[in-house]
Amino acid sequence: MSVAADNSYEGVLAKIFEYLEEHRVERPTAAITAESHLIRDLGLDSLQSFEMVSELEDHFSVIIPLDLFQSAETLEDVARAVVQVVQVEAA
Amino acid sequence: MTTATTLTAALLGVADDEARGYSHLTSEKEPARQVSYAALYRRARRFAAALQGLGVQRGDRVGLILPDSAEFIDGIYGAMLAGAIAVPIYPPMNLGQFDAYLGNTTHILRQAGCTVIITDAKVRPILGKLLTSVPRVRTIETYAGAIKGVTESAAPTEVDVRPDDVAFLQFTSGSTSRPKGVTLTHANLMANIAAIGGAQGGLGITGEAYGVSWLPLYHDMGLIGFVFTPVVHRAKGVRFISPLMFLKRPAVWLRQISECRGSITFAPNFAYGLCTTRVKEAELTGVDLSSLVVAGCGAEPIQVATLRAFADRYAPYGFRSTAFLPCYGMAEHSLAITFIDLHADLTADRIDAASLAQKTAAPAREGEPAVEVVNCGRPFAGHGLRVVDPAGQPLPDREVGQIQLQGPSVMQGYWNDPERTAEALRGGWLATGDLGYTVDGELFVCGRIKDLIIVHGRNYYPQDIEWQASQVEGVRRGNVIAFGVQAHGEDREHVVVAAEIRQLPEDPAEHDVLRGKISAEVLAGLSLRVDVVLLLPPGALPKTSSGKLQRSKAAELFVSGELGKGTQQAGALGLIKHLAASRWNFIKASLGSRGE
Repeated sequence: MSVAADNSYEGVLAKIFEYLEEHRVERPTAAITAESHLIRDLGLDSLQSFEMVSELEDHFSVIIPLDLFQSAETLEDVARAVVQVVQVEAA
Repeated sequence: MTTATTLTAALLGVADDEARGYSHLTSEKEPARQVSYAALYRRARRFAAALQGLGVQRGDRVGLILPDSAEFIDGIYGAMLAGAIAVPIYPPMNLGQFDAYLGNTTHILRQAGCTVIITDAKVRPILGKLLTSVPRVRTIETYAGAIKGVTESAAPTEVDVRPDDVAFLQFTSGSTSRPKGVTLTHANLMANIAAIGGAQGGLGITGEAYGVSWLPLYHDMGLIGFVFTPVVHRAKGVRFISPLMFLKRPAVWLRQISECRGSITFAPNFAYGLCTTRVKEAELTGVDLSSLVVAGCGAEPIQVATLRAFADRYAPYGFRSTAFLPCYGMAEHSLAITFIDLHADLTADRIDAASLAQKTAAPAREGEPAVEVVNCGRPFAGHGLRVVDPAGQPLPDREVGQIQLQGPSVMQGYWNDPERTAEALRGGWLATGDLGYTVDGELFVCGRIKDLIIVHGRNYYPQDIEWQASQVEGVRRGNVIAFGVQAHGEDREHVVVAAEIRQLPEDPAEHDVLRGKISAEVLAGLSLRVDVVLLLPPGALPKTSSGKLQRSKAAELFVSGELGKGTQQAGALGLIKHLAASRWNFIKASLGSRGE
């Protein structure tokens, strides 16, 4: 990354929203929020979820451990997982 | 190649080899963990002793739910050394979907009659309630807890393992309804493995061969192909990559092949597709695939366009398209059935689409609409393969019918299921339920008669999808049909759900909502994305006179654009046109299904 990515919780969440706006297959009627459930609300299958995570890894230059992501159910969970990794790596 | 007649004897044959063996890559941040063949032998013996310490006796079934690949391999070899029958069960992948997972696992444990389950500390709490729902299970222990009970150098009480002993049960994957326990003896496995690695018609595996695999080990291609075969043929080793790591970042597969100088890898069609579409150039710095001799492709329908796109993309990285080895295989035949010649290039038959609909694979004329069917090669020596019509009569070349198999690799049957065993093994032949044709002894596989829908290498049964869809308010329960349609030129089947609705709403926007609910229900229950949901008025689905749903008929109507004619289905027409070039459903519909 030539420009440091905004890796605050809000910044990560904004990046996730941006990614979903671009890549989402389904267009559910409800708006995407932090509480959106990956499967129920967004209709992401496991491959699509993994694709999103690898995109976030590239953007924030981090590696998100598999087990951290496996328990994520909502976008908030994903964002917090990313923030947690960013902070550990910065420490 | 060993002269052993059992897998346990084959393992003993490499027990002194401290230099070669497996390595396991399970995290991006840690190097691969090495487990030499000698270390494997010690670990498996210790595990076997631990099982015996838990009271496991010869012939007992032991469920293995071990996400860690090294522990899983100890578990399966250890169970064999203890004389037990291992039952590999896939671990939960998504921690949010326990109900469907537990339903499937409960069925397998009951069907197999498992008394002991070995798992890890993360999965164990989830399994707690199985103790009440499957009373035969008396012990659920973690791997760590089990081996703690014995010393590091512990050895099991010797068991005389014989070729006719059941080696393990391979439960067919994916379904939440009734997975079947494919029963394989040591003799079955040794016959198939000898053929897989053999110099004539096989991969010619030598002590220099090195495998790289991300395949799940609870699936036949991963387990038999990369855990058992290397030991029997005394290959240099195997690098196992966690399947989740591959799904997250497909480039890891290619980077590991390059790093290990891997010579053999296998994967379903979709994996080659992912590498073409999802891997970025930046992830390929320094990657060199020139060591690859075999890039096997099987386990789901092979799309020649997917493989060619992969070959084009990776030629600059040293990939040779002659490495592609399309194959045909199934768990009921241990693993592999046909291979193309090791050094042959990928070839496909261009078939006239109209003739194929008539069950004949006539070569297409230049400029005529054609479908491409990949050449899957020849059956192994000592094994029989034939194509028969619905009456069981052998067909000549280029006539499409059911593929049947014979020989030492054919399973004993489905465990504890005489009814379905009798359906599959008739008159000395294994009915595969797959359709294909031969040309000069080479096999071309057209598709499956059975209604299995295979997406990304996972099997889905229409009954399960229909059940999920029926949970949605407004859907007429028992009046839903699900089927797969092979979209021409795509990596995967399209999944179609046609549901009768009690009262179709007038507002088209409400149709969208209803379709969304059905998709969401199937996705939540089965992790399966539905491509098309058709909403139909009551009575629109084809049924037999006895009221049984006709899936293949529905698929046929769908492909011809007649299913649900006159109802609201924005967007579906374009897809129907797109799918009209597909081949599988023409044939499916014209030949009917096994067991229907």
